[in-house]
Amino acid sequence: MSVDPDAVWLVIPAYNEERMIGRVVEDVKRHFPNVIVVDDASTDSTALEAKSAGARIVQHPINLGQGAALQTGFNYALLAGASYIVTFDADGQHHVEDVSVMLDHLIASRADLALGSRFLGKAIGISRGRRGLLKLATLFTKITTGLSLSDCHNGLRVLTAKAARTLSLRQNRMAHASEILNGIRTHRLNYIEVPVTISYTDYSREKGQTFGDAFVICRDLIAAKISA
Amino acid sequence: MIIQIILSLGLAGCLFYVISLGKAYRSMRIILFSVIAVGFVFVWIPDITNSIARMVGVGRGADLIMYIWIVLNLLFILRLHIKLREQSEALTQLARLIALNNVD
Repeated sequence: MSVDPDAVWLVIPAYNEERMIGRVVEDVKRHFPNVIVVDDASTDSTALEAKSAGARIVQHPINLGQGAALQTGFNYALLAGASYIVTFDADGQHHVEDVSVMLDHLIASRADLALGSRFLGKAIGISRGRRGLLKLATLFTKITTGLSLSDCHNGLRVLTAKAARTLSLRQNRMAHASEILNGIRTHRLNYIEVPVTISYTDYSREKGQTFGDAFVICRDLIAAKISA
Repeated sequence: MIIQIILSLGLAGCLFYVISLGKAYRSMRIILFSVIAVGFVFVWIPDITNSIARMVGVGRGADLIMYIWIVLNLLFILRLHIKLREQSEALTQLARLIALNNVD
């Protein structure tokens, strides 16, 4: 790999993920030494499991949502002097091998951030309903931001420190994915899409977003527009 | 006559509250003062509402007051919503600061 792994920080937002977080952290630690788990005030032993697996823990005193957890992770990583920040899901659906590939592509392309795409890559065990919903979200993104992406709600991203500093996430809950894309357009950041593999398991399906969440995301985005 | 006294007492209560706000919320106070003043006029000279209603194309004064009431409420809800969002953003920043300061 052409990039020093010490310059890379993985940010894993986690809320009640005690069954999976230990395994996920151990897995990524084999490739990257710097792992931050932002525990979003879990009521189970998520923080303990993550800590014993070797992650740094930042604990929210109250539950704020995934977007807020990512922003907290960005702040921590930037203070720690990260050159690259990776957003990674806690439910084990991402593959750490993809991160190295994304980093290589990002550096080679000199872009500001690399977005993982399961539709350029592979989506193992994806349901037809989810595929349809994500395609709809892609269309929504195209209309609202003008960005032509193949996959716009993928939690696997690699950001340069510059991109992380530029984007400030105010969407605390799930609309942060759209917010990042809006930010890319507003700040004219350069992005690339890199094929990645997403493995859907019973666990990730149980923890993941549902159809109803799409409405919540739309509502949050509209509310932000009104009060902006 | 009885209803006019009850409504006036209610408005007087509101007036007391607005005065108790003191010098803060200057613009809000002016708006509330005007609403209460207009309220007193409408309570004691209700025929005015009918003539205003006819002027703007509404049949009865009571209907006009209800329409205005609904719009005022919507504006109030919107304002509350914006305030709540601001509060929640401040809370987020505060919680983030605490989280980052407590990293061991």
